[in-house]
Amino acid sequence: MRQARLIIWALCAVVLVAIGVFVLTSPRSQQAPARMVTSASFGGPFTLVGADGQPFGTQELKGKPYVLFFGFTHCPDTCPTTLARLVKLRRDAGGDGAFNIVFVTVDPERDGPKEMGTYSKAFGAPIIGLTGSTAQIDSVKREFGIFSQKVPTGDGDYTVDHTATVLLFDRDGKFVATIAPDEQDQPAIDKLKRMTAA
Amino acid sequence: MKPALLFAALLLASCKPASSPAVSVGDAWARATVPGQMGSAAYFTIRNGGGADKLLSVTSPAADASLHSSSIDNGVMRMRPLPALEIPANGAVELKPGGTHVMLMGLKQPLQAGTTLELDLKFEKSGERRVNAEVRPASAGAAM
Repeated sequence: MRQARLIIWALCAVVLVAIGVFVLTSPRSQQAPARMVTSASFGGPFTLVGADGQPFGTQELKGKPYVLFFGFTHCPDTCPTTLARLVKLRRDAGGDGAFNIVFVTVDPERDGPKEMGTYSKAFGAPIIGLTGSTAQIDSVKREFGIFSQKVPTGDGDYTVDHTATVLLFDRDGKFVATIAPDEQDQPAIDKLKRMTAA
Repeated sequence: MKPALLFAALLLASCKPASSPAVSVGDAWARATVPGQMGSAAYFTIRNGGGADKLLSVTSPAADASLHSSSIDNGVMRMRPLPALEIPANGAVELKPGGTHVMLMGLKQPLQAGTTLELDLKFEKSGERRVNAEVRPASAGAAM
């Protein structure tokens, strides 16, 4: 009886040590730091299609800070609200020329270069509208951690759920900050000013 | 007999909080469409100086209108149809950009800034109300 109990204790000890070794050496705990998003690794160069139907690459954004927002032109509420807000915040943070506003569609099926061009002109200030093939858009979404998903509206039409966070990049294309959709104006303006000063 | 009268009086008095709603709709506006777009959104504020009510539907002769809510979930904007909108007693409900809104789809003609858009609201208790929403430029409604 006493021997049996000793064996159980010994087994417990072995299991405990094994768990400890596993936790300490598991690939997950080793990989965690590498998965953190750093400004150097976030985003990346991309090539999309401009409103003129011609390729538009990251190099055309060099030399001026820019903010990146993903949406779609059939979006009745959030997208026009966010673009109108960005135009206003840009005026508050230094004027229409202070930085570029880049609007990338998550709905390339419906948003061609023409649609993006017309839409981007509707806010009374320059906005760069970009589209691309489904593969190009998917690749940019992956690079910038953007989620989007079609939601059928029942009548054969659809809307798109999508990340509405605005991404900020300095004049060298380095990621500097984000503006959340529900963020107050003042902290947003402060971030934009820091972005243009960087 | 007296206790019965008292009871009746109490019963009547207890009915008072469930008074009829006193609903008014104001600050109605819609966003002008971008050329090529046949969808937009409209907003208004419902003030209620009485008992609770419910907004059952919004229709418009100019488009397929429906109540929707936009919500932010972990940075992701999700838009969903709202079956109805509760109007609290002695309160107000604001429809605004980035929140609850009237989604306008299949507009029969583009919405031009400076014109008005007819909206017909149907309340559970207050019945129907017609509102003329002012159409503002697409760049309006920057506040979220």
